[in-house]
Amino acid sequence: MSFTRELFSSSIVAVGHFNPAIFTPDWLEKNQLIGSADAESAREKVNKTAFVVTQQIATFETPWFVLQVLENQFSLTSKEALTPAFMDLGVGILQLVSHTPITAIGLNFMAHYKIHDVASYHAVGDALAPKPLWSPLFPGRHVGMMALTMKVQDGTRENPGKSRDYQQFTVQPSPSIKSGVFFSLNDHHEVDKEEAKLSRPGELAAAIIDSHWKNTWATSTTVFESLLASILGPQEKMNA
Amino acid sequence: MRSQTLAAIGRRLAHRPESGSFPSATLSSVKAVPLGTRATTPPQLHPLERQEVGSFGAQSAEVLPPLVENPLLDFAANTAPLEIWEGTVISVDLKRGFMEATLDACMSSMPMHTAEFDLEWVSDQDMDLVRPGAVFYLTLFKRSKPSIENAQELRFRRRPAWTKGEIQQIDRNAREILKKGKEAPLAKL
Amino acid sequence: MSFGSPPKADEIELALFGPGYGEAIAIHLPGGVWILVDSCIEPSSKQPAALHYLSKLNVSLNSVAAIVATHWHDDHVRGLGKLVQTCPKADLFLSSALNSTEAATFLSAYNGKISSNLSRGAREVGEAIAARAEYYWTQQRTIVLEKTALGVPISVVALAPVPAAFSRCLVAFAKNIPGVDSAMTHAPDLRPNIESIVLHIEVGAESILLGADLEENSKFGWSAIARNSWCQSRKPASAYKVAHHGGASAECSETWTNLLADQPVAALTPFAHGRVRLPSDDDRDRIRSRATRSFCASNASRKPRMDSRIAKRLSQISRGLQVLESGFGIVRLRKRANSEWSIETFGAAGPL
Repeated sequence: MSFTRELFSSSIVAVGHFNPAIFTPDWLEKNQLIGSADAESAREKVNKTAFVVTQQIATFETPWFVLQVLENQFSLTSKEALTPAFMDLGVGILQLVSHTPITAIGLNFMAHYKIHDVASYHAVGDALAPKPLWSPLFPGRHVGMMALTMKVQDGTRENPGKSRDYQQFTVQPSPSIKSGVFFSLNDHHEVDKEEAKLSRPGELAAAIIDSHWKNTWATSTTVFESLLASILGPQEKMNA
Repeated sequence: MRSQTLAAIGRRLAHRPESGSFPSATLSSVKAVPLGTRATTPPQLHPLERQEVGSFGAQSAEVLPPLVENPLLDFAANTAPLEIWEGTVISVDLKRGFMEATLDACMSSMPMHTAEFDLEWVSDQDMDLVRPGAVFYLTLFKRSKPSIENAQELRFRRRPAWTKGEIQQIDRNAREILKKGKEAPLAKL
Repeated sequence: MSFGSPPKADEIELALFGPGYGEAIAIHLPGGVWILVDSCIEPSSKQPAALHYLSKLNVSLNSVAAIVATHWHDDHVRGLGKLVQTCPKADLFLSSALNSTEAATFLSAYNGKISSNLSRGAREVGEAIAARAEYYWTQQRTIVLEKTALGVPISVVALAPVPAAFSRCLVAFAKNIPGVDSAMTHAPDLRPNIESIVLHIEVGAESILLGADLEENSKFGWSAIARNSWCQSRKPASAYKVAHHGGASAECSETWTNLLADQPVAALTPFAHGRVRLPSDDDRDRIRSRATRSFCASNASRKPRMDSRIAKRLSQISRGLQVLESGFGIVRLRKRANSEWSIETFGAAGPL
């Protein structure tokens, strides 16, 4: 294989109106969403940078996730090995705050791939931002792609779909892996306003995560690796 | 829980040790975090690699900030999963200290398997959750930092307790289930 | 896998599907009527095994008259929801042991509508119920199908569950109903199995006994059925789908003496779950001694089937790693009037 996935992580982001003060390790533990060791680990950070809980902001971390809640945004980010327990945690938290007005959910997956030879590494950038397009504009200077973002939505340019959901794929050089490529997928879902009037928006948001997160994981891997395979040639075996 | 003023938070973050490419955090940047749903985890630079990283095609480059940004978080992904199974406990033998489980692969199409696990692989905080029918996730992964190593993690699934609303919904759904049931004719004796 | 041609119009067929963990049955009756019992997944198509089989035979799904879910355990209902959705004319039959507020509440709690993935079995039964405006409770003497086709009287009736089992089932379900603030855990399988639907199928002078997973119990199990005079009045069956994967917990000598013809043909599916492996060697010996010919739907090895690197790493933290669905197979019995059962095996199926 000419590339291997070296790093993989996920985050769940919710946009809405939150009360950061309630999001404490104790609260998660009391509601059985994290165990006592994880809660203790989060509390232990009280004298270091990461543990803050106030009316405006809550942030703390355990060995396997970081939680950050602002008044207008909730963010859960994975650490160490990503597992579906991460999804369960996001679902569980939003179910607990079921009355919170949440307007959108973002399911994010991030991957760093090592490209095994330098020529192939440069070929990725050259394929996505062809040199013949840019180099003539800057004769005698080096031109390199910094980042590319593609947005995918239902419908066509002439007839956009009704759904306001979209997926945003980003490719850029990896700042973590030498000769590496970083990919991210932001799978954005709007919480239906009309449905939110009838049902609890937090529960709707939790249902979005429950029904989409695993598929988005699979999509992220398929797209990232298909893109690389298209540029670098077919591979023996892909990750999942 | 320590009470912090926002100003104090900002001062502390501004004096944080150099983490590479992130701009220093200020309170204004906290409030200016866009209301999008994109990942808020910035990729973190590995100090040794910083000089080589920049853009595709560049000979050498200054370190440039990543596209995604949230200055409050400065950790990085350091693992990649090899395989993940959703395990379901079949039986538990506390005396002998093992559990049997089915393993359903999440990342590949391998068929379901069964295996026995010593309970020493279950963290203390998860021991209360071990019972027949309980679900856990078993992950085999590669850790890249601080050093490359193979590792594994077994974590039991947690869901919040049943709420009053959910119990009421369950009762409503149960009535709907029963409404559909009809008696079929019986054969004569 | 190729299955040849469909049964002839006057031919009885029993096709037993087994992937190593799981069981399903397709019954063909004279006149082109099919009855499906339980559901499991055919691994290559990922479809319910009966659907895959019928489509290979070019049998219209409109000819499925009934789908019987003998009980709600995971290995008997995989794909049940899809089966019911795609057979629009089939009546759905469920065990009367589920006909209680407690059982319905149990199903409702664990079927995934409120909280996902707490019980695959409950979820499949929930999907099956959702696909129908009504379904039928089934207990001893329930008529699943009764008709005459091509001049041959046909009767499909239930020998179990017995009404005496219902209150015990109700208590078992009630113990596992969640309450406010109780931890959200997964639904355990309830044992012993006394809620299973046992079917007796008569076609003219022939008959078949489908034992499902019913286990022995003097009040609710096999001896209760075998000693029941109405059950004894059924024609002794010449073909038997052995109860509970041939396990000793379902063994009852009166089943063989009172409900089965002398030396019937026997077929079963294996079961493996942790240390439980059915049928055991003793079970095989016992069944072979009672049946003229006996078959198992899946005889495949349980050696792990995964990438060797992953198997090696897994074996560092576990032991006894075995594949659950060892290999998919079908045992097919066909018979016309005044002839013997002809038996074919496909895939991993073979003699017991």
